[in-house]
Amino acid sequence: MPDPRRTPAPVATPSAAPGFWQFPWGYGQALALASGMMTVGFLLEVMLHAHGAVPAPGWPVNGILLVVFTAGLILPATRLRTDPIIQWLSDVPMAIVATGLVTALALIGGIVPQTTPEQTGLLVKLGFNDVFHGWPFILSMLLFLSVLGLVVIKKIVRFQWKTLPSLLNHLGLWLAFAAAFFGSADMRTLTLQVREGNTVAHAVDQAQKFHELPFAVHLKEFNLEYYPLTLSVQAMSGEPSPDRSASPVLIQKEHTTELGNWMIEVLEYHPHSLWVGKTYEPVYTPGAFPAARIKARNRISGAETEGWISCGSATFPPRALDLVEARVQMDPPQPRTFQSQVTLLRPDGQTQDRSIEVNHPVSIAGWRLYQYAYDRNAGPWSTYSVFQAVQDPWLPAVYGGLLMLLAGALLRLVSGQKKNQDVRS
Amino acid sequence: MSWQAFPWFAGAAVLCWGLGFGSTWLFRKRTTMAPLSLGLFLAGSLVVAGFIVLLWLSLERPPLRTVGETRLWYAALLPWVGIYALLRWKLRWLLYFCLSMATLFLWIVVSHPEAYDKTLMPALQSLWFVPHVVVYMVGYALMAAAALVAIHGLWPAHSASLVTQDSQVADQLVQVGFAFISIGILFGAFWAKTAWGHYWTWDPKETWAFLTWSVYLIYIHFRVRHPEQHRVGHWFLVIAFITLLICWLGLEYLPSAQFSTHTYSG
Repeated sequence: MPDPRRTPAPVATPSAAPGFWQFPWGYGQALALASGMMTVGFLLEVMLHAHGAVPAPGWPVNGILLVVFTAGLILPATRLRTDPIIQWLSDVPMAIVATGLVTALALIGGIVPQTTPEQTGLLVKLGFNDVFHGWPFILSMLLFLSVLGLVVIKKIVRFQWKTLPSLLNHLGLWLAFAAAFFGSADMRTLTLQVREGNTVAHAVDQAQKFHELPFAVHLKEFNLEYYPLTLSVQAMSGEPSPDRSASPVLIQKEHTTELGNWMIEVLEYHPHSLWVGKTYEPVYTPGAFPAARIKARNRISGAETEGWISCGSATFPPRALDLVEARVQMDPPQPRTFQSQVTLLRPDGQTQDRSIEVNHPVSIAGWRLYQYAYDRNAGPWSTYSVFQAVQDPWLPAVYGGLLMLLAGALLRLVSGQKKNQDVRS
Repeated sequence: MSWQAFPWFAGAAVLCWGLGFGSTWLFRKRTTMAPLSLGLFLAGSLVVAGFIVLLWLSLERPPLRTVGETRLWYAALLPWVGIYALLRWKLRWLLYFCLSMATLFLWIVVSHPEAYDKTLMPALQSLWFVPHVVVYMVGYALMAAAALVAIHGLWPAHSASLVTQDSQVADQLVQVGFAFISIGILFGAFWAKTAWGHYWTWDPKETWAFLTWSVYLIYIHFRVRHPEQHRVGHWFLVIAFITLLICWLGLEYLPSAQFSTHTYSG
């Protein structure tokens, strides 16, 4: 009678090694999937001659796509939890490969200049000059969002309070990426240029096409303030004064400062002047620029030199005072703030007086207005201001995701150093 | 109170920190840090903080407008991260690291007086500026430490137990460092939205910040699944740190970076 404890010896099979596609899957299969997707992606890129411009659907199509995509993740993740493919897709090797794929494409974008090139070579055909809008990147993001989405669902299903930071990190990242990815076509950036005294209610996009705006912008005044002007001494070779203990010298009338071996006295200072005849005359008029008459006395030799210095403007050359081995110059003025005083006309007919400057945009009618540019040649005399109007309807979703990421990161810091095992949750 | 007095404050702070460090040798038999040592570290940090307060009062505005002023904040905030790490997680090395970096920044500030009044362009005049940069400084410091530990772990002569220990220390450093660079990248995105209108534009600096973040993310997941693969992990950290260095210092050498709007930073 055969011993029931002994299992019969297995019959030898011709191929003892498991096939590539035998479960469980791991890195190899993940790389195969990634390679396949990239082949398709680059083929699409080359064939469609898209030069990066993958058609991106706007609302409501992108919203529907996102819902379908999410449902397409929730159903397998919940109903097919034990399926080996679903398990592989939501496991670490796949996560590493999917992240690595996005990283590899971003690396191309970080090295190859992302601009329109003059010639079209192989790199351009493959879309390397606009990686982030090409088919390979789109596909890699879809893969990444799929894998991350399955992981998020897994974590929600197995939720425990102690793994909250991990869930926040993964869910926050998914939400931010999904909203940014699916909602990208709904973000609009328009430019509008307004002259002082004028009112404008339309703007142009990057293709120079006009768009009507649901509000109007009236520019009352554009202001540019420079930091107080300074002068400096440079050696004739162009290098700055070797006396580094001297901070930049403010130009103030009747002010005398020591600058290295020199005593510099400001005799006259005109913040606004023009070169008239043989000298600078104080004139407050568009195009005027600063000029100062200074006296420089060498502390060692006692030699004195007098003359004008000026930073000039876009149309007037600068002027420096030559000393024997050095030169005194007026340093180029540095913008301190530039802002636009505007009156905004809202759709309901109400007006609002606001000030728009860098780092302080203004919201109106679902758009945000940013101080973008001005007439750089005219500087403070610029008679127009350029704004950017940005509409970003998916922003709350993106920010919701980013704030979750922030919360997750902070919670991780606060809850302290835990063992590696906790990351596994 | 003006910048003229700053070298004295800086010297006093570094002296306190140096004495504190020396005193830990006196108390080397203790398992926890002696109150005297901690007191000296705190005193030095308070000196730098005190200078900022006095400067703020004398300028009658927050000292956040010039290059020198912003560097001062780096030097002022780093010690507090180190002190927190010591009190919270008993990590002495991080405190010493932060104090070393703070000393470096104090030296940079003292030796660049032309920066005291060198003004910041309008785009940088934002409350986000200092938090964004300081958080990244701390994150970078932690990742640098992790890379050093990884190199230590790759040394051929080191025993298996030392290599394992290096992995554990590196993991802890990366966990904390990754939280910091995540927060740093988020602050950058929030700031970008108020300054440029878009939270992300794949500008070369942003792209490389993402690459750095992503490589450390992959490392963290690799360590979750393969905790026994120490050598691979260590090599990974070296590569990750090289990515970080490219992002921080090497952008100007890349072909892509001529078109970056981040060229003013640093």
